[in-house]
Amino acid sequence: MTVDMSQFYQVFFEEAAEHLANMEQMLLDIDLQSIDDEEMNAIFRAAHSIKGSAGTFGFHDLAQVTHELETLLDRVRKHEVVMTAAMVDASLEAGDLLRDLVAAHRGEGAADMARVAEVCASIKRLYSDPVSVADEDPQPVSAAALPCSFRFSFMLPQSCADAAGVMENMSAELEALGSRVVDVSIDAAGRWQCLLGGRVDAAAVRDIVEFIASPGSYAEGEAASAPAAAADDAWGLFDATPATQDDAGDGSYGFFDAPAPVAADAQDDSFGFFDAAPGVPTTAVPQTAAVDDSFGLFEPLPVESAAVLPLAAQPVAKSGAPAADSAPEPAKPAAATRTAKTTGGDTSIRVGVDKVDQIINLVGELVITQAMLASAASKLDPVEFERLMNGVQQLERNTRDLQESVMSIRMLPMSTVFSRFPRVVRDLSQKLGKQVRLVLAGESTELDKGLIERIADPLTHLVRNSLDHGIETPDVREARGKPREGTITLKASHQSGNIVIEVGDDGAGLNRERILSKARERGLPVSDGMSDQEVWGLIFEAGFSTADQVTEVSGRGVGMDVVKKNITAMGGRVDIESMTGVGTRMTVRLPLTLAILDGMSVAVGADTYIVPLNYVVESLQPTAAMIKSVGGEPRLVQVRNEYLNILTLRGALGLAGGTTDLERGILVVLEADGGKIALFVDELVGQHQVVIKSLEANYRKVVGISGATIMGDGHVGLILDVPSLVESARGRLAAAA
Amino acid sequence: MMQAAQAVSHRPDDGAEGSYAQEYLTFTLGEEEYAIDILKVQEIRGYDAVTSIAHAPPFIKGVINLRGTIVPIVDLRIKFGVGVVEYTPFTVTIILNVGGRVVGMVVDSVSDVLALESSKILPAPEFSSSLDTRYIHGLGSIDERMLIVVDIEKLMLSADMALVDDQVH
Repeated sequence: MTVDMSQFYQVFFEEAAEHLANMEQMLLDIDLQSIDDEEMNAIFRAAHSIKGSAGTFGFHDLAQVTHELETLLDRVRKHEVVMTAAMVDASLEAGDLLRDLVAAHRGEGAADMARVAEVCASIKRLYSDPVSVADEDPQPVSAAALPCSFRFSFMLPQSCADAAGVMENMSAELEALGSRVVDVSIDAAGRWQCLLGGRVDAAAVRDIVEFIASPGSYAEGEAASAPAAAADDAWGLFDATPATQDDAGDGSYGFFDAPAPVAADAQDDSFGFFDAAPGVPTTAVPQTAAVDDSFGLFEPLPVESAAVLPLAAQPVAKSGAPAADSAPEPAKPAAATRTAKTTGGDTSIRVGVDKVDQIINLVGELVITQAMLASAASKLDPVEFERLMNGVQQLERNTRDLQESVMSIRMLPMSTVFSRFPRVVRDLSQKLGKQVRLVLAGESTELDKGLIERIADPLTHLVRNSLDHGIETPDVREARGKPREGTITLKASHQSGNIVIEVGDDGAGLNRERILSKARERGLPVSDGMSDQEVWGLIFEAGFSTADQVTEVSGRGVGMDVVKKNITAMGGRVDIESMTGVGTRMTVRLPLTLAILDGMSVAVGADTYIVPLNYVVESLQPTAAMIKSVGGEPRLVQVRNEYLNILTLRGALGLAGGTTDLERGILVVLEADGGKIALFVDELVGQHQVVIKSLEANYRKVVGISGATIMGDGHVGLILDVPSLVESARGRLAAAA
Repeated sequence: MMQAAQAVSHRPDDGAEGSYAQEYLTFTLGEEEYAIDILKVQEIRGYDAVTSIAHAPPFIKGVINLRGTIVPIVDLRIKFGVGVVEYTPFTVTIILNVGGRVVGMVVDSVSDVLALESSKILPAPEFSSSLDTRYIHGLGSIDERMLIVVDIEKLMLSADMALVDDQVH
């Protein structure tokens, strides 16, 4: 085609990736015992859409693989072949290959044509295997529809610039099927009339032609049965007036064609002007069903149409209404739902992350400006400047709302990460000969996109680790009185400003002795008196692996340390709980977002620091009676029924200014990681929402400081790293004890 | 920018044929005159109040807000132990862009921008001072003045300056 397609490539790549992800998800969900027709159709549609767009964009390798895959799925869908585990595997492999091919077209890596041929051949073998043909189907369509000459006609979409090129492509595709284009002509109305010879599979021809034809314009007519012109008329009629669906046989044609252009249009919007062709494939589904009718197979029709319908319509079809007349009725609302679903795609737009980030940055600056205004306004007389004050307050509310909505753009549900795990677990458990069930929970928990992308790899490591080291082989499990099938649980939830992701297994648990002996072997400073928590922490040391043998999956000791490092770099932490014989649970805690924080500002001398509000329990002014000394130094404060360790911010950060008299300052009770301390500061300054800026971008990590922000007056404020302060305070106490 | 930097680093040997002029920003620290590659300079500004950072060496004054970016400020006078350390309205901060990082350094004064031919920059002899010879690119001379041409990028990203996390960590 002469149109420059490259500008649409990106859209195609994204679409293809989405379809592939969908397809994989659905393939993994398939229950071979009872295959849901709707699911099969959805999988087929995904493959079909990729093929459609791949063909349009001239990615023939992609089209070739999807074509085979689609043929296989189509036959399963039509109950000509029974889906087997081998087919699921082959389809998954084809999905992987397609992903690689897409990557290759993107310029990442090279396309492996040998693998293309291999995968195509293996799929072909699967669907052409006669043994697997379902016996209840007396007359497979492909066999029935092999007339030696076949006539069809169609219109090309107006957006198609290079008709000759398109026709050439089509001929090539048809010839690949074993058909031969005998005659091609174009009539006065602009319809292309084609006559095919040789082996003809009507359904396959329809599929091919509908890629290029404008929606609903495809019509077939066999020279032997009816004059082509008459058939054309009928098509034209039903296209124009879908209401005429009384006729039993053609009724379904009329009906199914009607929503077709709608669906295609709807997709057009989301794809750009180009997608007349790929939009059509969705309509191919009902239409193929309709073709079957014309061959006299009325019996399977309800099943066929049920397959097309979303669940709502299914009961009707399942109730066994065999009459073809009834089919259009349940199909009607179904088609409407489909259309609605497709148009639903239009309510979202694809925007580059950089644009969103730019908006977030701008809003961040706006928040700073707003804070600056607020701090300037607070010095004015509230009576005299009442209107200005009101305006500033309103600005604050609006800014906060704006900020929240903008931040929510970046939020993605955890399911975007979790969706990869069924596959990981399936492949890995097969490889390791284990039986594992994956339980996902809290997939709708939202997390910042930046974090989502970075958490995926560490989580994969943890899951693989659980599978490899945690879950025992079925025999061992049985011997230990556990079910043969192990369970891995992935759970995401919100917990006070954090997102908590748990990776749990009901496997063997960590082996304390083995970890300790391994640690000694590696010369790490360990003792038998270490707490479990400390021992478990050892597995995050670099190069630490207690696996008896190095497997393909794990055991090289790279991984866990990287996991910890990555998660820490995201401002999160990992905790391990484990019980021998019962299982292990790794808990990853991450901040909700990297960008914004509710903070309380505290002053020490002339410096101001921000304490993240989610760690603050309370603040109080201590009296002499509350402060208790240990070892001659005031260390503890009694708050109600608790003694808390006092940490002076002045001491912790080595500051010069500030008071040392505990009674003249404020104690802020902080809680982090299950520990509480009382942080001593000079005074509380206020509460703000601050935009977190990285200190490490231009500087380095500072102990006790997690980041920086810009205060209302334009100065830099430093944000305290509360967990590390709490830890250091507890360490200090332990050292003193 | 990278090309310029590379070209300069090849200079001492192949300078004969490809002798070309490069522009340097010169500044003073006490009596000494230094020159740095002008392409590394982002801007020159006055000295702002800084927010001091805990556990930082004395020559790291703190961080400032440079239009939304947190920029650490180094006082080279303290680092090299030259000049009088005082902060007046005339104190100058040179904001550098080195290795993708933005860093500010306080100097006594900025002199001018000079074009120095690469052949005019002589290799510095070995000596020991607070400024390691590793970071000295060479010595340039203009009239009677000696310019210490500093590889500012190498210096700022070095462990000595404590501006970057240790790679070993």
